[in-house]
Amino acid sequence: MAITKVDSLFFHPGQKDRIEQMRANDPAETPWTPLSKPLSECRVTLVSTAGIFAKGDVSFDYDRERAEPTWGDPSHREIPRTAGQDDVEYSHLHIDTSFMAKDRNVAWPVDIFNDYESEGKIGSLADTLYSIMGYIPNFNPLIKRTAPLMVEKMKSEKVDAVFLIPV
Amino acid sequence: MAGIATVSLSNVPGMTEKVAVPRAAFIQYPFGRQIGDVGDREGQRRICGGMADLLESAKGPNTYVHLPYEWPEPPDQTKWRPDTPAPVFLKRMKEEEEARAAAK
Repeated sequence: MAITKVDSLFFHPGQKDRIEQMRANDPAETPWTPLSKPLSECRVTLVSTAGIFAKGDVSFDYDRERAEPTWGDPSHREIPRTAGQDDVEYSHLHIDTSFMAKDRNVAWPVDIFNDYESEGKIGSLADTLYSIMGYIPNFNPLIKRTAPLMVEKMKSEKVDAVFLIPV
Repeated sequence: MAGIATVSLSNVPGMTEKVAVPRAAFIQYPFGRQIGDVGDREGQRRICGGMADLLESAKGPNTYVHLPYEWPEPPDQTKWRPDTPAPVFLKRMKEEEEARAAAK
């Protein structure tokens, strides 16, 4: 049966109170950047919240999260687009990452976007892709420090559009 | 300075609409497999395609679409939680246990 309205609690009824208690931002303040050209001419990148990092790179700080369970690492990792399925770790502690470890495209569609580039659906996939680890109870450092660093790198690579894929 | 156009995917519209984002495609798929199941490339491409269509068609901020696809398993048979609970859940479980013990 076709879904007409996605149910926020379908897979995780326990987060009802958390959603209700969230302070809503004013939609009148939502930022807006139009797509500047057809997608077939755009350079695109991906941002995941799955805690992905290249093997050999520094892990997200799970020692501190285990010691302080209401703290989450607000930093990001850059992942070269050339990194393959098994060249990275899928490390988020709050979800079952074993599906991504078998087929990254379940939440990190690098192979699909490589195909989109070959097919001409997108102009190109940028050299650098990005991940954060999505459990960040205090998101101020994410907004103030991490996001600007990612944007700076994206601009240096002339990225036109970003696909954000939370897990 | 010009920004960068974004499109997001979300399986929790209630949260995403409170954050208020430029463009989001909502999908009733489980955490960790929001784009589709292992090996289902055709299905995965449908979700990425839905995001791409929204990126191109949205005319202003807070543009949300509900993708129509249904996950094949019922929620109570769909695995998304890790085998080892996250630290904050272990902490909550311990606190609940202590509260129960104190109430006895």
